[in-house]
Amino acid sequence: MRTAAVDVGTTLLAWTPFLQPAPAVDRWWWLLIIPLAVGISFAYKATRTADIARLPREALRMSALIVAAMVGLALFTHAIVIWLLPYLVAE
Amino acid sequence: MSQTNPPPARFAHASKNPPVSESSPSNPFRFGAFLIGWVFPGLGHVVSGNAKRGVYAMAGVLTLFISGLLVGGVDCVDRREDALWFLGQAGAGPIAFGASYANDAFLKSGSAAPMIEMPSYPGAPKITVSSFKGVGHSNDFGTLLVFLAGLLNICVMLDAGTREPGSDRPTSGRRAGDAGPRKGAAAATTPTSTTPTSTTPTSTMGGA
Repeated sequence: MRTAAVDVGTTLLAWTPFLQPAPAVDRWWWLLIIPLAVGISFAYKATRTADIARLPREALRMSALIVAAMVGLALFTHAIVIWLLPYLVAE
Repeated sequence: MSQTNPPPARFAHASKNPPVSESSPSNPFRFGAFLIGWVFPGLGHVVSGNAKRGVYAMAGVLTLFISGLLVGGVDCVDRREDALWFLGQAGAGPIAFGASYANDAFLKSGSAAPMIEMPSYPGAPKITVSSFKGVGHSNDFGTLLVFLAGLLNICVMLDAGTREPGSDRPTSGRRAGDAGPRKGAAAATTPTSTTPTSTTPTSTMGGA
């Protein structure tokens, strides 16, 4: 764990943003759901919300819902693959 | 006989602030705002008097666009190699073309990083790519994030074209900085002259 953190740290120091791909994306790619959800929510709610004063709250709520739904789907598929599938006997 | 009944009280807020802006004979499509929205995300709303909405839309689209470039680098915007992806990415406007130009100028030219020769069949022409070229997850997610920024900006542009100018201004009450009647002036004017000026559209961007 410590080795991995040091590894990411050293590659981060050598990273040239916007020219090089972000380092070690293969390890934390699932965190990209957060900027994805926030960006989609703000742009979508900017076109749909009637009352502009409620827009930030509605956009953050939509972001939280997207992330929660994805986490729920991940847990559901995890339960199927890890717990349920081993009960199916392969003939 | 033909008089129209007012909507029930529970729908009063909905009739005052319709959730979706629509183009109609009284509210024509504004090509000016639509096109300016392509020049920079959210700018179409800003120039048509809906600045706050434009800033939120800009924040959303730019969050996706910049996240994409940070994750995948400028290599994830390539109008020649990834032409189909670029069709959607181009919706984000000149910034997408700028990223593609930066890809050509810095990565493909070899000025930012040394070029690496790719393995190829014997006799096939040699192919070299930049050592900064994104592969795997970073390239996938970078391309996807910028693509989504482009698609969402097209939605924002359409909204800027159909939304009534200055429609976000409050129809009742006052906010700081709004050009409404002042306290002293309100007492001196007659009731017919106290129509709130904040509902008047301030811009008729491309309203022809």
